[in-house]
Amino acid sequence: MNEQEEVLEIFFSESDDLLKLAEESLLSLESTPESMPDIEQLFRSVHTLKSSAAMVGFMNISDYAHLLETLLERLRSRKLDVTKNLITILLSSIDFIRSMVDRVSQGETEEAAPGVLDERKDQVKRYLGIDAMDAPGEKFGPPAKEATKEPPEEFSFYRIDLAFRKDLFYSGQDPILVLLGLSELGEFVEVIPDLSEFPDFESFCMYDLYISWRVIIKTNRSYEDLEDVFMFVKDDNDIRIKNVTKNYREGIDIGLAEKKLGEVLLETGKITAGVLTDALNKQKKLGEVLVDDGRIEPEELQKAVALQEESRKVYRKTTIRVDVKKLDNLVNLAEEMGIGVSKVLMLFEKYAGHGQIEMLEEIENLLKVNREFEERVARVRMFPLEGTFQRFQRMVRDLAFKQNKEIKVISAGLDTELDKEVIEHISDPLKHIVRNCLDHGIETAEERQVKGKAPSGIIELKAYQRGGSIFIEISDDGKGIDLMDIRQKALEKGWIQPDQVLSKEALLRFIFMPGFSTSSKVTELSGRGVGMDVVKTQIDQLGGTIDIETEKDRGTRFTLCLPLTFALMDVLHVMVHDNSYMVPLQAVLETERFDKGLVKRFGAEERVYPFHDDYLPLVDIAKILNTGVPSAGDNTSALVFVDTGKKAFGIPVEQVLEPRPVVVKSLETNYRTIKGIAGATILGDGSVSLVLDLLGFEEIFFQHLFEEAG
Amino acid sequence: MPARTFSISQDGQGIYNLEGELSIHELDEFKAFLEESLKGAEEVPISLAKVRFIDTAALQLLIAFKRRLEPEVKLRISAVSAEVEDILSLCGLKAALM
Repeated sequence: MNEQEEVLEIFFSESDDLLKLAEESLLSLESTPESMPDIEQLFRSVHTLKSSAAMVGFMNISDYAHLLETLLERLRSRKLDVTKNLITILLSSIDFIRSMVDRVSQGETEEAAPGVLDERKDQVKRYLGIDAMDAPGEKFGPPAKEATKEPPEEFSFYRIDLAFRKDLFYSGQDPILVLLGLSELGEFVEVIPDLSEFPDFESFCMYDLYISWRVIIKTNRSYEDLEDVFMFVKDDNDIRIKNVTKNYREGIDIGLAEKKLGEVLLETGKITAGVLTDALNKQKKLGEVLVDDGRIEPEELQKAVALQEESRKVYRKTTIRVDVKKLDNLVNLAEEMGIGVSKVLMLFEKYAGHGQIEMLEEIENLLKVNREFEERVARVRMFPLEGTFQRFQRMVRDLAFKQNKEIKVISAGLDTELDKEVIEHISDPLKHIVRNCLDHGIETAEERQVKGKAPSGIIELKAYQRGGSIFIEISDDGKGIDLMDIRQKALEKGWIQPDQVLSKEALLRFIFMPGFSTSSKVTELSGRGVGMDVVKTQIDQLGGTIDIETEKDRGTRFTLCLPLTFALMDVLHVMVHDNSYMVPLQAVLETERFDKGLVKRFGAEERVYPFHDDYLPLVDIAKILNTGVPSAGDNTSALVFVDTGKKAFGIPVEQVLEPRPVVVKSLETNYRTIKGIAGATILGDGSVSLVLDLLGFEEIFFQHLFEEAG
Repeated sequence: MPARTFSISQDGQGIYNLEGELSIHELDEFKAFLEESLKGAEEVPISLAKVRFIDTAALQLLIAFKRRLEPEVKLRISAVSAEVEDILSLCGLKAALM
């Protein structure tokens, strides 16, 4: 790579970071429009991007960024308010910059197709109030605010609230005449009569005035000119004039978009203040609703807020980019070094005479350091899920908008780390599930209100580590999956018989069948037919599992369980018939000496063993893995009790050795996926030990039970 | 009191034609007319095609009647003059009336 290429490479990766940062700030601004740190971060990202693009000679990118910067400067100086509309434009601008960067990174000479760039610039300029036609020739032209002062006839927008006295007619005045006078000064953008005080016919007195007005007028006249219109009525009546020009670019009330529905309804006279207050009092904050509904614990809510803060801090830390291959080499080297040291240790133990204990200790020490080294290197490959979850925020925002739905995304456990490779592989399945929640789960605001739900739906993304696995939950509070629909579909497909009785779980499993889809509506997004079976396959390939829980009108929860296949894992080393196995330590509840007398048998071969106040089944490694060697049987000396998060069981073993961290090698890269095995690891003596996949174990074992029972 | 310029007549199709300036000074007569013509009727078609001016008080009265009657009886404004059209868009009350 020559110097020029290296500089470009840096620019590409840097701009990627900057654009992500900008997008993150925008999304955050949308929920907290007043947040100054977000505005600052947004401004800084665009500013840095502008300079670095200019440095590598991408002038079009730089120019465009400059224009955006000008717009952002107005946000920073509070000359412009953050509105939903503005955020949408800025998000699409960030996308546009990204597309320009992508184009040049693919070797195109032009950053954007001819015409597209100008169109985009014009859009931003319109927002800035610069005449799109007279684009400044020089690159870093005069600030746009000066340009706005240039037109000789500058129009302002005024909002005038006219609340007359009830007995106005008695003084010979008429609002229509006042409005007529006002209309001569400019153009009415909007006239909103407020009929909320209009009484029932019985109490209606035809000589009283019940209507008040709000008028938005576009005018080049002064405030005083406007005031003059009300000369004869202003003393006794409530007339308020306010300059609202900053809200009215292009004559559209951009303030309206971000206003709350209640305010809009109130202002347009569809409801009265009393009704609004009543309704608002019935409303609760999102957090409270979630807590009340039992969807989230109060502590969890707080934790999520804290996490959000924390992750933002983490995000701002300095990072460097390293080729993954370099890391993989390190992981392998660290591992080989460990194996080497272990071998030396064994040789010493075998051949060294007395008096060399010190040396032995030293080697053991070295081994310990090496283990830590291995662990640290493996951790470098791990990334928090934050970035992945964040992408969904954006996706949901855009898609919900298109479908006319209101959806909030809540994420928790953003700092949960996963191996980079796993993250890459789960991104698509996750996306598909989130889309499913969006398309088929969450109802439109109207449907939700009919059901007595809050108009805005919630999609919750949650990640956490348990039992040596990473769990990712995607849940929505939508309509849930219709089991009758599934049954109907399964019947149509001939998968079941009409008289067949199936459990909820069994029915839900059909969702993962190829060719299954209950969607009665084809959307541009998730389409139809291709669906959850693909998701299931992808998760299977990662050695993970997927679960669905659903309840009518309460929502649906998808739970992905991903083994830490590529990661370093703490394991308990056990021996069965001279074969060594590793049990993920996080799943281990307890190890216990085996007492044959305590075993209870039922059925032909099933055995249970008392554990605390319960009886847990004993699951035999040899039987599950079909190793062909006899099971521990009489040689069983100990039981390892594990909990997978769903089920608990005991594993009979002959010997329990030390717990230790190991680098788990995936089997599929060298061999193929075997259910019940998460991977393999190489021991100090060079031999291979299998790492058990307890969820797979559980599945094989309990399925087996079920089949026998059935 | 200014000279009366307001009158109501019914044409062959049963449409009530209002003519002239419909203002607060005509309200008593106008109200009496509305109450009378509504008796037993399912629909009261009113044409404002010849109304040169209508004031707020008169509009209010029409709205009040419309609100009381509908949906059982329909108070239908069958036509409006250009002047009335202007007034309605000026005060934003078209939707409330039509």
